[in-house]
Amino acid sequence: MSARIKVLCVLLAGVALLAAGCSSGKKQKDQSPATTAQATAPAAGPLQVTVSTTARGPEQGFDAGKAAKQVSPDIQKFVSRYLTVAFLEPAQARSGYKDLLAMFDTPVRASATKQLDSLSLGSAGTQVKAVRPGKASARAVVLFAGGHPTAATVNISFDGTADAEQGSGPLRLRSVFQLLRAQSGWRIAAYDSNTGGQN
Amino acid sequence: MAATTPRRRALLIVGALVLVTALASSLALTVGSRSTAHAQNAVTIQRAHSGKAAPNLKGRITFLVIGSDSGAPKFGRGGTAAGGRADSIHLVVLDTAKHRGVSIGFPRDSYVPIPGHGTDKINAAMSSGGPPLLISTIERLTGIHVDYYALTSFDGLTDLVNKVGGVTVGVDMNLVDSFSGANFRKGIQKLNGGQALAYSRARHGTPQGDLTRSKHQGQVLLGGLKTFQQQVASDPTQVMKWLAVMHDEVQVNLPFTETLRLALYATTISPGRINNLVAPGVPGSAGAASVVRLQPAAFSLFSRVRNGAFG
Repeated sequence: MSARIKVLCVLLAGVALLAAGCSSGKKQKDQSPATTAQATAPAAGPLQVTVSTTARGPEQGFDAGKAAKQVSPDIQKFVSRYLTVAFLEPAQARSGYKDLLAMFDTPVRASATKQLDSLSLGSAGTQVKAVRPGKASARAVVLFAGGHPTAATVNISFDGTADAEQGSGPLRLRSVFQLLRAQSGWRIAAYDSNTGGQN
Repeated sequence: MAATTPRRRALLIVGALVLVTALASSLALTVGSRSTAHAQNAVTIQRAHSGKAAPNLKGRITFLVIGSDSGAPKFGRGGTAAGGRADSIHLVVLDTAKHRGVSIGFPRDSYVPIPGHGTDKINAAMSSGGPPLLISTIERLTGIHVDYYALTSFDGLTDLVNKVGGVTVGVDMNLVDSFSGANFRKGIQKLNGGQALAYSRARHGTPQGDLTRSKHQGQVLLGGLKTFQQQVASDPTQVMKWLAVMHDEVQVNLPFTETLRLALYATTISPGRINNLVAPGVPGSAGAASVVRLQPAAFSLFSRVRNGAFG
């Protein structure tokens, strides 16, 4: 056997091995669709929330533009935190969404506990393995009193994709939150929230 | 290739075939994976849900709504609102659990005991000791504890109404009063600030003078609540507008967080579930002064409200 024939044989063996490996993978895929879902799911991108803020304040001596610019990062931080614990951390479902409920003002927390499905992944969270955030935006009107932000109305829109054992599916949140500024930060004092459904 | 032997040619052909087979297998797997992924996007993980909630406040909340005759430069009235006479006095009691309430108007000439100041017209209580003395007077008179007060002036009321774009009020009679500037036809209508003030002040040409005026003031109050609810229902950001206007035009003695919770709670209570009443009284005199003497029916009303009956 010449050297060229030896090289050819080695190449053929390599190709044969590659083909065998592919066949083995196919068998695995048929047995476990979840493995395939994980393998084919694109890596989750970071959550990016677009925030548009308007400020309201006293008639005299209030610079609405400056105030809006000042408070906008704070609102963005709140909305990002909310969407993270409500949707991007499916493990929250197993803890009863404690971190999420802590974002609600006490007089509305009992209602939120009963309506988690309209505010978060809710009961679906237990079957979700990962969430890929899509478009996220918020429009806020913030009230200033005494030079500080004291309350806000925030319209939140979020779309994403959830990956679960049985496959992937769209997520959707459309909410209006009335926020009050407590010592510990923004708290949701009232809400009107919808999840799922059509865009 | 001229030197290629038949054995070598056969090997090359076999090699090419294996390569093509391997490539085809890989391609089939890739397509299969994509098909699977596409099918997975069709599953429903999140079903449609709707939820809505306002603050679930506990128990009974009472507040005194006061309109002062002072602290209104636009109407040529100096001093401060808190140092003036209370021309409009309404005790609003809300049963938060049952989402109902009552507004009791007190005719400004009601002749009542004022703690530490003998007996006088009720509107003198505030000029003698500010809102705290008026609250003490009302509490002693009715036996009902007052949690908070809200105080405004002629300027405050007119500015407030104008800034929120007017309030819708069910005017209950044709009314012309040159003293207050009132000129209304009966029916539901949107009043601007000046009209709301005129309707609240008119007593000449009304069937029961001071008592009718107090009832009309309650109608403006409930009209404001209805207008607030309508605006917030169509645009939730209007809550911030109303709070900003209230902050500018109304003095309150409660922390802002409580004001916000109350405002949000107010979106849930139907104005029709708040009974607009006036403490029953009859015209009389005390020396040279014209006064209103509260009748036993007034004290029965206070007793019923104390016991949770708002009818």
